[in-house]
Amino acid sequence: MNVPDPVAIAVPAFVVLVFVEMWLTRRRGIGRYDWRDSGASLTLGLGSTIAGGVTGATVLALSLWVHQFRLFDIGWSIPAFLAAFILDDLAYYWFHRTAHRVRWFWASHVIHHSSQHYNLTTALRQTWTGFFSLSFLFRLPLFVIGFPVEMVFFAAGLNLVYQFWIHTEHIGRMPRWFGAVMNTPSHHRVHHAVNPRYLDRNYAGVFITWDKLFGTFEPERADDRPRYGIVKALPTLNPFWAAIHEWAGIARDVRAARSPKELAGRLFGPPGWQPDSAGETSDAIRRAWLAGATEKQEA
Amino acid sequence: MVTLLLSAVAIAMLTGLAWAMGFRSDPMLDEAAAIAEAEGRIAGFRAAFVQLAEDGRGALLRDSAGRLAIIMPLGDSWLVRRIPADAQVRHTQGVLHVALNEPLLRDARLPLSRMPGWLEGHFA
Repeated sequence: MNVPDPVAIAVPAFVVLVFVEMWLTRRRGIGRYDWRDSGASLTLGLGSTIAGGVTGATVLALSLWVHQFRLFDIGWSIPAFLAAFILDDLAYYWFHRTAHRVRWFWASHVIHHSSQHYNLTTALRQTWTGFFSLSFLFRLPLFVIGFPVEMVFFAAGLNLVYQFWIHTEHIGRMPRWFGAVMNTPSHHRVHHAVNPRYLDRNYAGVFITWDKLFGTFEPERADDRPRYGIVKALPTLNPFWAAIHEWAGIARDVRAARSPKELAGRLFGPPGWQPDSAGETSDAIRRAWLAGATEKQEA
Repeated sequence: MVTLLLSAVAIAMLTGLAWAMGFRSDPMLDEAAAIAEAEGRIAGFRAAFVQLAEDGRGALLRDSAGRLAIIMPLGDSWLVRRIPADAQVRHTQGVLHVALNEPLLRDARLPLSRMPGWLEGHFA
């Protein structure tokens, strides 16, 4: 069955909505834009599209090959599509969680987090190196189950389109019933924040249920406004450096590694990992913050 | 190819629009903003002393534990770094130089007419 590419269809709407958000930012004084940051984000989005075009055929071929070994023959039907959409979102949750906890995958995903702004252009700041980091592996189980390849890619496209609108500061809290199940701008602002309380939380794509189920949910608080970006902000707005800087760091660290254990830690440990627990990982930052908060309370 | 060209045009248009709408500020820091920035970006950092850069586009801070941090401008945002205890620091011609030795940030610079008193004795 031929299915359209939801992302390609949505691109004109993305452009219009970015313009509308800029106008609202100017008018309401909520949110932030910077022309240099937006230019970098949009350039990274275009680069991601080009990279996807170059590697897409290989991912498709691999998916079709895996689909040969499917456990079930699942045809096109509404219940099957709903199941594919939900399971694809579960696969996305685990990909996304891994992308924050394992440096190899983080090296690709960090691009999306490298802006200190949080607006609709940030949504388009996407990886150039996802194929290289093998992020497509997380979706392969769906083909093993037997979902048609086109169905899974269509669901994945819809998932990506859903995630566009949640990259804004213009929407406060969604109705409670909605935010209980669905990912919202508020939930995702937490995900993009470097506040110790918020680090490595809210990995959801569409359904926030996964975070609640697997213990990674954190609600946004009025007394702890999100500060966006990455722990060690990039010293440049150059999109090319944003795309490759973590890979450059990995290459440097791999050359300097003094033992197989250190090499493994540098490649597959959490971002910021250093030998002898000296690194500034999310967990270490949270511990330091908690210790500071306790000291403050005691004083 | 046409799609790529259209995308490039859309990027140029939106970026230009952001510029034209005035999203091109180079903000300045005051002490409160510098403290908030450093404490918000460095876990466990509690600023005790602040020295703003001459032009207000950056700051040097020391916390109660004697740790130092530097804030530098980046677009309309800020770049915050902890200064390692063994970092080479020198002050020449009204500019503080901190050797951070990071790619693209080997030498962090801050316009300071004089070294703050609370920094004396910190570096050899």
